Amino acid sequence: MIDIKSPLTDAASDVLESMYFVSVLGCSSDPVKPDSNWIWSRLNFSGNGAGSFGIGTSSVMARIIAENFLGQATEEITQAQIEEVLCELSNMICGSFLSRYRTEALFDLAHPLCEKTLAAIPAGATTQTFELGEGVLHLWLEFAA
Amino acid sequence: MAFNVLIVDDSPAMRKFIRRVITLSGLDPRECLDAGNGQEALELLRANWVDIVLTDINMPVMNGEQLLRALSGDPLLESIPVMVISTDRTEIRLKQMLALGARDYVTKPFLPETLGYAMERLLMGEKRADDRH
Repeated sequence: MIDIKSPLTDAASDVLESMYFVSVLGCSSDPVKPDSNWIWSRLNFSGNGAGSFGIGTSSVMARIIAENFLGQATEEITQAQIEEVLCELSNMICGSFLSRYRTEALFDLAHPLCEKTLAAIPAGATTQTFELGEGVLHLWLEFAA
Repeated sequence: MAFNVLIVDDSPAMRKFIRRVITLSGLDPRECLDAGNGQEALELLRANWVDIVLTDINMPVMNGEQLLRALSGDPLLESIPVMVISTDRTEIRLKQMLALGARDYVTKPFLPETLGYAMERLLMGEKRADDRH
């Protein structure tokens, strides 16, 4: 069985550290307990393999991530910008993972969507949780059968 | 070095990030234009002088591949250097974009200095080429 977690961890860590200036302090497969303040972004991909990918984090952590990415002070950042940044983060981690995982394949990524309620994580999806200091980033990935 | 840059990406957050990276890199663009897809980019390129285009691949309406094809088929725009910025790090995509006329390809995630250096190299290369003519 081909390892998914390792390239997924590498892709997420690379993206978070080099473009969102967030340090990844640890990573685990432990389940998370999201509350109603979490924000989610998900997207579908197709091509040489189809599936879905998503991320979720608290509104506090999402704001920190947006602040780092946009280089703006917290009070200047709108909710719409936070959602845009989270969508871009999901797009970047997913794209980076897929091209590491299947280096000879081409994929098309659909436009990510932001959701304020807990998205149903597909049964059988690979999940990872990243400890980011001020909060966690939870992600999942599922290849369609 | 004064230059005009066009950033093409459907994500407003990504366009803002690239604009910020350009400034942080010490490059001093005279004008920084942006477009949400290839079609908008073509309209801006026909109305403005642009020295370098930075484009994503996955975009609605007209994607980066279609934009490169449109540019290479337009005698007035074909010489503008295009740098592709994408999460796709596969060899097959890189070769495809270069074959369509992209002059460089930077994969996301990238360090801010990587993009700045790649842009500078491309702009200086273009300047040297202009000086020879």
